[in-house]
Amino acid sequence: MKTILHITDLHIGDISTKSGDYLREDLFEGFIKSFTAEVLKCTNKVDALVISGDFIHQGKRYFENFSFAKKVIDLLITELQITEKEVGICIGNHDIDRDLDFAGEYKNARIEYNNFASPYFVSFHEEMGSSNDRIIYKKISDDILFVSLDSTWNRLHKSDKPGKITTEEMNKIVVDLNKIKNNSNYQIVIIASHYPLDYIECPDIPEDSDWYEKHFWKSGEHLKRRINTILKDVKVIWLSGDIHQPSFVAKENNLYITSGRFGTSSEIFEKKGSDTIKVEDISYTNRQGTVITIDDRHTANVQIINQLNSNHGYDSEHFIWKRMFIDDFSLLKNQPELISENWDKELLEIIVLRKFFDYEKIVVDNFNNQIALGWVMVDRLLSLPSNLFLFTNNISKWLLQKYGNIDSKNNFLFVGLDFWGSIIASNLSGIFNIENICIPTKGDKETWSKMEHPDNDIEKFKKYITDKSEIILFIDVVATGKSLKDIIEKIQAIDPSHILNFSCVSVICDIKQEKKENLSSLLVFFGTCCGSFRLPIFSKSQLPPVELLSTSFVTRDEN
Amino acid sequence: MDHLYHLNGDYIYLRADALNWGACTRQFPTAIEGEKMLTILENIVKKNIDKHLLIDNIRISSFDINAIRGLKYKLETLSYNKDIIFIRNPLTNLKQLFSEANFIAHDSENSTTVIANIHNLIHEKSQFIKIEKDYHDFCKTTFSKIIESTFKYHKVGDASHFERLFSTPLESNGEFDAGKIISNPKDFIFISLSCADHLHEYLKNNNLDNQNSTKLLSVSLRASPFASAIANTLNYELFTIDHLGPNHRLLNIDFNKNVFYNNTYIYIGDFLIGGTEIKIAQNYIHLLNGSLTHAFVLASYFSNTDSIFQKKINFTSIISLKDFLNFKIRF
Repeated sequence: MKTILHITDLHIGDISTKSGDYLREDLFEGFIKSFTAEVLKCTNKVDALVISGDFIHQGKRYFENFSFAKKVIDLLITELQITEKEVGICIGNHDIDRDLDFAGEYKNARIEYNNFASPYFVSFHEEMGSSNDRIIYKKISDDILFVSLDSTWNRLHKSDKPGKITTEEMNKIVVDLNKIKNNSNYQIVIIASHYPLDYIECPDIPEDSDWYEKHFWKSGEHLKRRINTILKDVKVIWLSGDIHQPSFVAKENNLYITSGRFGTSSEIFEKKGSDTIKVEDISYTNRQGTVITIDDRHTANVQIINQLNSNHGYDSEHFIWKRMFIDDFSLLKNQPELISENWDKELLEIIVLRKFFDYEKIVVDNFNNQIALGWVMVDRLLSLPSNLFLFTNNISKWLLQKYGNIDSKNNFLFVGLDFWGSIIASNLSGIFNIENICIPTKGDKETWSKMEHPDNDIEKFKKYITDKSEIILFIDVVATGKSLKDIIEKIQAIDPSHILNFSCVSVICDIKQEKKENLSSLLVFFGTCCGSFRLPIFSKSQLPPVELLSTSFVTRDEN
Repeated sequence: MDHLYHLNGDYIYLRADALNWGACTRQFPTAIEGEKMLTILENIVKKNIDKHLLIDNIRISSFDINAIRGLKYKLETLSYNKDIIFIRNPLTNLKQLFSEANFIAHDSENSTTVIANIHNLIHEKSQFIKIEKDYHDFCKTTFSKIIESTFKYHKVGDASHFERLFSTPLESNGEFDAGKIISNPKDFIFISLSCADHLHEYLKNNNLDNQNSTKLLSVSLRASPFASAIANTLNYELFTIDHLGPNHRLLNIDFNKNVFYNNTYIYIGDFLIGGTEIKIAQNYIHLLNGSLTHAFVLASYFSNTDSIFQKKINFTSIISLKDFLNFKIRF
């Protein structure tokens, strides 16, 4: 079990007694101690403290406050009984000399921050990948890697928007992360960037047209996708801030958390000429921290610790914190995501209304210990051209969403599994101009001709995968996931030295059925068209002797 | 989008239904519509700005006038100085449609050919006839070349090494692999759409062109992508039996028995040598009170009248495998 404490946006500005902030010289101790006391009610031990930027307010105006920010972190370290080694930080847009940054002097704009940050990166090791201006890797413990991303670097547009990350930078990050992954045994990777990626789910997003542009790290989205392909068998926790509102989203083995502010006064002031005027009252948003506890069952328990009182009183008696349970997020990648939620419902309706199913028929074979109770007539669902069009159209949109434009990309290969997987794959290959092969999953190699089964002509299939890195499998039904797992292992075994990334799209896969094979370490993306149709699975040992079963139970003996 | 067209001499050859496929607008297989289609078309022209564009409009009965207007506008902004030729056009309102967009039409012997009057470089009737002939010759040759490219000797470089073909009494010195066509999107689209043209004519000539009573059937893994592409293009329902051949075990076959009752099926296959797969499929369908009397394959070794089939099935194929001199079979 590992616990991560996340805070962000300290915005240390006026630290005098006149200030409206608790992170000021005369109050910060009580503020921090009351907060950490509440944190330690959630957990016996904090394994990592992550602070995702904006330590100070308004850049060079308060650069001298970096030393006060250090005091705040030192106190957190003492109270949480950790060391600097367990602290991971990243830079925020307020921690920079804005004028130098807009002039393109990126390094000089960050001198003050880098001096402040250096004690927290002493445990950086060269063999963990070469850190640079964009990224720093830090070993927090044997099983936790911390990755600090500068999401403000390279603001070519010279405005308060996130920076642009280049393809070269991304390529390097992917290579380095791969190297780190291969030379270590990390189970959790924490990635901190001040600006969040586009996964936010929170209610109070303003309607300004450029709000998203200002606060979401758009080019980080591509980086996220590429990192996901590398880190598919560890738990990845993405932490960010900036928007002063909490958001919690879990997707497969990734947990995306944005915490609300930890500091700031309850009112925001801006200097206009010689006057300082109040521009925003933010007393309605709580100061907060987030506690994430990941257990051995791949579940992340998330709680936020909210400060309940507003700024009235300004004394230690008013430091009231309250824990709030958010959710237990599963970080297992076994369940597919729905290609489209509305369409999933429509498909379920079609299957039920037109009786394209049979719960009085089960298939028993000698290769599988798990048996699906139920049968879906996928051929009836897809036999009309207009229906098949809907499948290819919706799947192609999902693929675009996952991979971006994949048109004519030479490193992609579509693999159609069995009849309808092959039909869908070949239709899509005509849309995307991607190479495509058909492979059977049923039966052994004797059942198929020399040209059809990979086991019959390995060299032929090897030719198709030599220059590929992304394999997208299309299959009609995933019930136990065994066929899928077997075929992935079979394709990978064709050339074990050439590592492939696999994704899968199925027509049907019961997303609530938990007895699936462990697909989490095998798939980058896993989508299904219909996930609401229930396909219960039971163990073959629970079955009465086959000869006692009625004829409606079909026995498949493939030996 | 290179997979959607072919280049030959001064021409870009493009099928409107291939464009529909690539633009993912096949919901209505006989209609061309939408911005995406226009974007692809524009990109194709941009990439080959020095060539005339020939669009084979077979079976496209509806062409969005806004798409034509958009195309014309985009071509003008590209300073495109070649002509656009539409052939095999079943559009009834064609002249009106194009005259509004400043196009002229010309009726050739077999179909309507329309020339976009941008520079009017092509205006003689003899030119139209040659353009059409060149296009059809190109398609025929390309089809043969693609089929030939799928051939592989059983033993590399050895034409005299024979092996028995699965489920037949025949021996051959090599095999044709439809998987090779399926793997290449450009070849797959071209072959599938050519097959759809051929089957469309065949069904019409045999009074089987009724989508309600005629269904297509695929029983093999490598034929199913072709069968589906043909079914989508011609708007027929497709059924599958997974799987019948060339090796199969009776109890392994997954299919829904009820759907075959009283329907007429057209078998769609890839390469036909001994016909074992067709015969098994025929027996299955008859057993389930359906009817399978016709078949279509990409290429076959024997013809419809050869005694090997004992007149039990009518089938048609686009080309004969006997034309490929490297391929030999023996009893």
